[in-house]
Amino acid sequence: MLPPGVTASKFADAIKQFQGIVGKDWVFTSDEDVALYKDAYSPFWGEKDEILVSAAVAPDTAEEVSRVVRVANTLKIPIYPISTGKNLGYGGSAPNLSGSVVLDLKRMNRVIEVDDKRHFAIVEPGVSYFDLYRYIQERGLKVWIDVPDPGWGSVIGNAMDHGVGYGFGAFRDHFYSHCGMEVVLPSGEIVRTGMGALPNSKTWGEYHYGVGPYVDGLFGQSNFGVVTKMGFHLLPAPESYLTGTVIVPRRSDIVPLVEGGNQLEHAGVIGMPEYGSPLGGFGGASDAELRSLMAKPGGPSVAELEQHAEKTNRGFFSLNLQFYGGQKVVRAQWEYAKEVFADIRGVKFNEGDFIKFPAMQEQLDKAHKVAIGVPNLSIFMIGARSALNPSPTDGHLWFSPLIPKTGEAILEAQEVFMKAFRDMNMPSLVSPFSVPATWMFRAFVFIMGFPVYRTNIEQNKKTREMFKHLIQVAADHGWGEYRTPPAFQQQVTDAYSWNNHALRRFHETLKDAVDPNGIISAGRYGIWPKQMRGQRKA
Amino acid sequence: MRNRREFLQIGLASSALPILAGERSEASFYDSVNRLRIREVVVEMSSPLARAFRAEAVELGLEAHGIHDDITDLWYHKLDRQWKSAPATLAGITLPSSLFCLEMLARDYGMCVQFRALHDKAEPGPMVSWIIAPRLRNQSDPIA
Repeated sequence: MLPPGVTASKFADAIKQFQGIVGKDWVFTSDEDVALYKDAYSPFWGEKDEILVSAAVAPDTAEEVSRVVRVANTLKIPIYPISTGKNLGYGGSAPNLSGSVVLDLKRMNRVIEVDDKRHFAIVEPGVSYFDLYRYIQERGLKVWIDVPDPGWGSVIGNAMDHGVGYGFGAFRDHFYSHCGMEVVLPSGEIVRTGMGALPNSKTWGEYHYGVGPYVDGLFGQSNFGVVTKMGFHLLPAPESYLTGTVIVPRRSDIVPLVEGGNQLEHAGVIGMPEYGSPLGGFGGASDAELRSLMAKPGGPSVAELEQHAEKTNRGFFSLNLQFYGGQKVVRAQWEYAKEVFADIRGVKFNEGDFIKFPAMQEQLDKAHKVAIGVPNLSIFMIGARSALNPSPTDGHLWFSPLIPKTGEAILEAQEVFMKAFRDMNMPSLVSPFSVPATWMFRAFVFIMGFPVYRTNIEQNKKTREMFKHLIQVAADHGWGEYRTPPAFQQQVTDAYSWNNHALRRFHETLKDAVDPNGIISAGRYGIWPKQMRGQRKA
Repeated sequence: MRNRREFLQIGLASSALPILAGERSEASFYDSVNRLRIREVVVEMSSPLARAFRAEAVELGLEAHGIHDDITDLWYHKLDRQWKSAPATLAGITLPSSLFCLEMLARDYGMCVQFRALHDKAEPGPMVSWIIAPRLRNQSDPIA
């Protein structure tokens, strides 16, 4: 296929020039090769609206990226940069605009620097979490990375889509913890931000802002340039790790539970708080009697659920606390945490794992590895066919609305979203036990995973309709998504409409200024080049 | 002692179930086997089918990697390094989730799944037999 608006001869010319820059071996045009860039979790698999790629180019250096971008600009070829293309659940390696040429940055996989006295790293976009972890382990450096689940993605790519992890404080907001960038602009010019704009800078990986306007945010979830290097702050390797769980008996106890969790987290006492319910979670109700209760017409009352929790000697909600640091410190912090929750009537505490590093192998095997900075792929095991999962899916889409960090907001979100599923006559992904994810440390994300199938177009259509309905329901309640697959980026960004879409109009002004030909990632997060805005549709 | 061809015939097609529509026939699979010098296999240790395949592989002197669905250790300690320096053909019988991971990773090293066959009724769950090998650059590349 050809990129939209590009003739065959112009495309052939572009391909030839790309080959001259990166070498023939690194330009991919065959059907077999470009098929590898399909979104592995596409909600349009096999349909006419499925996003396809016309070609892919894999440069090795920022200078090659610059030359490729200049050619694309001259010939008006739409390009779509990817790092490792593993952002499954949010679009993977596929562009927003079908027919784009993928700019595959996986060959740019150098770790430029890791400093374990000042605790930062500078990497290229092809560096995966596995790569950076290996670099640190092989050199015995005393720093931890913060990893998402799975760990095969790009450190830069994940941050650029505002991806998140599981570790301590700000480190798990991967864009927040970045420090400085090198970017190839749509003109082909290479710019460095923050302290990197100072030649021979000694603090590029340490201080974010440089001087003057701080522009880094413009390159996240956007299409104003191609990031070719990025710095990240890293956690000093802690001496030990301890977990402890707080269990509360009543549904309404979620309010003081969250208040206590917020106090501890925002004061830097704990790492990522993990809310849960002993009564069930993503998999639904956790026992047969409870499932039967849930199946009652009209659903069970809160009293019935609380009685069941008491009868089975489980609480209604739980909060797993994670402590990182010196042995004496983490033990004292756990004692302090218990004091914070002591006023909740009937509260129970369970001390969990304690690891003094380096961990023994059996401790590592048992641990939630992402919480201790170890990248892995075990998350894919949960999708295997089993008695609880008789019909495995071919992938998923993440619906990721942000709600306030309060217990009241959790309870409200449960009610609102359960009703939304009822209104659409769809099986609910939300229950009275659903809790938010806590990847970002100053908001909750009430995340839901929707199945996608490669052989069930009808189900995919229903999923898309439900997803779109939820975007509107969430917006009506002041809950916006923080990240979304390309299929829904237009609708999600349309919801951010304050003052007649003033933010989008500002983005478009910037886009017209820096990328007048609209060659980079057209349509990403709702930012279309001027010549395509009339085609914008949710 | 079985030869390689017989070994792979038994291991990769021992179930009576059909090869996926659109995938290559057994005959072309053997052509691939002869052409691709397979020295290592990956097997899901919870599967009797895969374990039997593993036993045969070991007897033939192939290196056999046993996993329990999670390919992390195999990837990190073996394949990531190996594929960086010299992508090598690999065969296996695993859960579909394991093949999905390997397929996604293989693509970054110029490799792809050249053969796959689903064993839908295998225990403890559906298994898939597969070969991952370096991609041949398309001879009919439209823009050479």
